[in-house]
Parts: sequence; structure tokens; C-alpha cells
Amino acid sequence: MKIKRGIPVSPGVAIAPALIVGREANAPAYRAISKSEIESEIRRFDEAVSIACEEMDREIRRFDRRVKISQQILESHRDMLRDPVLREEVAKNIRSGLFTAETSLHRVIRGYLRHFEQMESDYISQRAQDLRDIENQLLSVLQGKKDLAIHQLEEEVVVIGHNLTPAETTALDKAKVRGFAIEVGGRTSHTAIIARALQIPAVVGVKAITADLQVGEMAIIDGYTGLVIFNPDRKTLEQYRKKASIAAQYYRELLKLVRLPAETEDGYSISIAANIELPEEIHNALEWGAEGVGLYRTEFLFDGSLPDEEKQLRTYKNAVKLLRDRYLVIRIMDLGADKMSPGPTPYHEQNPFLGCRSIRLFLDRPEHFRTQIRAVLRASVYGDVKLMLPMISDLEEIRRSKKLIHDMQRDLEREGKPFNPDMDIGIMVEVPSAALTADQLAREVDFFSIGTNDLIQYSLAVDRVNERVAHLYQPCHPAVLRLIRMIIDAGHAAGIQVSICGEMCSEPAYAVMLMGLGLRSFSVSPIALPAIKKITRLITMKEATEIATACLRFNNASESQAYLARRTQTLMPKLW
Amino acid sequence: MEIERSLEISNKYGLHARASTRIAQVAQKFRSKVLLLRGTKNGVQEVDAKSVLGILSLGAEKGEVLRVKIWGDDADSAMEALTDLFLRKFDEE
Repeated sequence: MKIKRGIPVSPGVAIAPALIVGREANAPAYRAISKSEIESEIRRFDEAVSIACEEMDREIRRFDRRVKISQQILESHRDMLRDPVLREEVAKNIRSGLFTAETSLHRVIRGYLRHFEQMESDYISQRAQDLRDIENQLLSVLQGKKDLAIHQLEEEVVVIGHNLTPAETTALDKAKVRGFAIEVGGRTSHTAIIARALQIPAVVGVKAITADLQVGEMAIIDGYTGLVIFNPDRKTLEQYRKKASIAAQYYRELLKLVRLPAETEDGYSISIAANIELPEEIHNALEWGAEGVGLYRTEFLFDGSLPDEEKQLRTYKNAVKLLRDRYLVIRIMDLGADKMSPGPTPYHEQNPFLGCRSIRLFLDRPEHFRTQIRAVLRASVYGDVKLMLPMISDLEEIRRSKKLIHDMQRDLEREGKPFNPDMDIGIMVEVPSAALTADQLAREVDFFSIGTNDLIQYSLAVDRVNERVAHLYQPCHPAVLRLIRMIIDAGHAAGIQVSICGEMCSEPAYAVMLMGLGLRSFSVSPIALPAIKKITRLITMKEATEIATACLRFNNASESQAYLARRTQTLMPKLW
Repeated sequence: MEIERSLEISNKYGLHARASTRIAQVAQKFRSKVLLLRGTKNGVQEVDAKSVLGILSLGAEKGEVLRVKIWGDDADSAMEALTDLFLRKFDEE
């Protein structure tokens, strides 16, 4: 048995023999052609284009018309394949360089890739993948590779590959292909978007899977956790078979809840928002019933440097518009430690998690954050925008941050640029010292958001990516529960909103306990949203309070864990 | 016949895949040569409007103004169709 981990992009469980497709196309071998071959090489290229386009047209027709966005992706892709300028450039290469059609195509695409990669926009640099897809598609026609015909399969499979182009993804025979896992891609790649639209379990960004696998070997793809398991042993296989059948039924039920309120049986309403990394994810979040965005992680805007103020303003404004009247909590760049550091790295960190990161970096180098704060302030006139300060550890940091923000507001005023002077400013409570002094901090800010990932790591002194101590990372540790309760109580006593945005609250059992501790507002990844909504509707606040009270009394995390599992297993199947 | 006009990009996302595809589709309906010009700090970038890849490589964003240059016997109707497409924000919702 071999287990690999990637990024889960589309929920569900798939179990079937593996079919390996689309290993990365190699750069074509160089071969010079003679002058007499020029015209036939050009003709060969033209034929490859028309075969590839016909295939795309078939996919476009096959594809469900209701999924308009996916259709548009395919259409763009087809029009890139038959781009007349691309054709001209390839022909020119064949003529003047006496290259084969393959080599000419490779040279032309490489030219575009270089240009795209230099461009500032994230969006365009992502289009580089489209270019590689086009090249691969044309190369496989040119090199006469057999069409894999994954839409005409005899038996059920999971598809494992280096990459699937959007066309290949939609060409998957849904009745036969149970899921897929690929080596490239991220949450927001086209392939991931299409997988969610098709509701096929998918995991992307799994390192070196095609190398380790034989065709026909049994594979499990877990679209909830991002695990890909080859040659599972009998016990694992049994577990996953069970999980798959429960999951399928369960997900159909979850989708029915999207338009219903998150309300307990005894009438308490819970607000569930989404955590996002890119504005494009807002579509998904709304589709799954999010009431707003409780955490917009802006580090992903940052790519060596920040986009300028106007560009950021457009990004934030766009997000606000997509959300209509729902709220948007923008967290200022949380850089350092495990994430990227701004500009020329200012310091070498011996111990990055305890070093000059996050809010400390902001206070140390406010000029690096100036464009971001100004853009957020200016975006605040377009909707319900809130600003969130990460990693606050004492009152002084809040005061100094607010002073800096206030100065920037005065600048905007002088320049005649509008902003909402009453925009909410809140903090992430994720450092134990902040939790312990939450009553003092609550007087200075408009809201708290509990960041459980760091709170657990800092209070238990555990680096959760360190395999040797990862088992000590325990969300239910009595110390963690006490700190969370302190934060909630202090926030509510001061009359400010307390929310939670760590991974912990994406787990339904923990969500129940957190409700019992007094939380009424959650922010989770879009995929986890329906499950959290479901559990709020299945439970009463009375039960949740009882569960939380019991957990607070336990001496250690494993007791809590076992108790929680017992109390919630009848309510929800365990999927995550 | 040769004509020129400045058109502003006013759709939500600028000249991304969808908008670029629409422009190329419209430009390809005409016999005329259609160029898009974009001023940058390193000079003027010029691409063939019948090429999706070309338009994408402009990386033009919302609010930017492009110069459209068309020559050929159906230049007038080509300009009209493109102006209309820009005004319709490339048919994005």
C-alpha cells in the first residue's frame, strides 16, 4: 500500500483500477526537414489542428449546456488551437528554419510561454497551463498517439495522470470514470473547476504519482482529504468502500440544504461564511450557501511583490461586487514563517514561527503594506468590507496598527479619495497571549476571529507539519478548549462578534462543540460548508452546550475525541 | 480603407480568456486586417485581433483604452462590430 497526498478539489471517494493518461509530452526530438517537405509539414500541422478542433467541438456539444462556464472554457481552448497567428508562426518556423511541425509548434509555444510568464497578472500566468495543454494536444495528434478514448471505457477506472486538459476532463466518461488525481494544478485551475461542476472526486498537485503506479493497480481517490492510495490493503479498501457509499448518498442530501438557513432545532441561528484565497472562489462559496467571506487570505495576491494599489482596489472591488450585500473580511497579508516573505527577505529567521512575521512585519515595515491597506480602505465604500489583523499578541500592536491605518485614512482624505471611516477592524486571535488578554483586546476592536491552526500550534508548542510531533497537535486539548472559551466569553462580554476561521471548525463534530462553547459564526472552506450547515440543523443548542461542557471536563484530548465521535456519529457519517 | 478608434475595456475582468475569444471570433468574420495597440512603458504593443493568443498576451485590464486599427474593404463594418462588442462588455454577464 502506498499513500500520497495532494490538494482535494472536488469531494467524494472513488475506488477503481487506475488508468494512466497524459504523461507529460516530451519536447519533440529535433529533426531537420528538406525543402521539399515544407508544404507537407505545414499540411500536417493544419490537419492536426482540424482533428484537435473537431474533437473539441464534439466535447462542446457533449457537455451539459447548463454548465455554461465550462463550455466557455472549452470554446476558448478550441479557438486557441485554431488561432490563425499561431498557425502563421508555425508555418514560418517550418519554412525558414526547416523544422518539423512538432519542433516548430514547440518553439512558438515556448515563445508565448516566456512572454506570459513575464506578465504581472496572476490570471495570465495561469494561462500558461492552457498553452501547454494546446501544445500537448496538438503534439499527440501529430505524433499519432492513439486517442485514449476515455469516454468509451469498458470498465470503471480512476484516471491518474500528469495533467488533464479541460477538454480531457470533460471528455471523461462519467459513468465509467470514478475520479481522478493529477500531478499539476491547484484549487483554482480550470480542471479543478470543471471537476466540481461534474461532481467527480478529484485530487490535484500530487507529486510524482504516474511514476509509482502500474496501469490496472487498484487506487483510491479521497476527494475530501486529498489522499490517493495505491494497492490498498483489505482493511483500507473495506473502510473506503463503506465511506464511498455513505458519501454518495450523503452528498445528495447535503445539496438540498444549500438554500435553507443554518438553524438549530431549538431556534438558534448560526452564520456560516467561507474562507477564500481568490475572488473566483466566491462563485463556489455562494453556490454552497455562504453568507459572506469570513477570511480572504490575500497572501496569494503576493507574487514576489504586491500588485499596485489600483490593481488591488479592482480585485477587492470585484470580490465585493460578486458578494453583493454580503460581508467580506480581508486579512492583511500574513507573510513570513511558512508563507512567502515580502520583497527582499528582511531577516534570516532562526525560528520563523516565533520570528518577525505577520503583524510584526507590518509594524516593522508598514511601507510594504501601504498599497494594500489603502486599497482595502478605498474598497470599503463599495460594500461591507472589514479589515482583519493577523497574529496580534498584545494591545500595543492593535494601537500601533490602528494608528498606521488612521494615518493612511488621513492621506486618502487629503487626496480626496473616498473610504468608509467606520469600516470594521478586527483581529485574529491565534496567539495564547491574545486569548488570555482577550477581555482587554476586545475593547479596541470590532470583531474577533479565532485562528485555530496557529492557536493550537502555539499553545501546545507543536509544529504540525513535523511528522514526529504531529500527533501532539490536538484540537481538543483541554488547554485549547479553555482558551477558545475565554476568547468567546471576552468577545461577547464586550459586545463584539466572535467568529472562527481555522480548519478545526470544518469538522462537523468540532463545530458542534464550538457551538456549545458559544460560537455563532463560522468561516470554513467552501467545500465544507454544506456539512457544517447540516449538523447545525440536526442538533439543538441544548445538546451542543451539553457536549461542550462535557469536553471541558475531560482530562485529555483523546477522551474528548472519543466522546465527540460517539455523540455525533449518529448525526453524520464520518467523511473528513 | 483604414480607420482607427480608441475603445475602453469595461467588463469585469479585462481581456481574459472569454473576452479575448469573443474579440477574435468577431474579428475573424471580416476580411480586413484588425490590429489592437496597447501603450506600455516600453512602447506600443501591437497584436492581431484575430488571434486569441495575441490578445491574451496583451494582458489588458479593465479600464484600459486600446487603439483599434483596421484596414480593408470591410473595415467600417468590422469597426462597428468591434465597437459594439466592447460596449456590450464582450457579452459577459
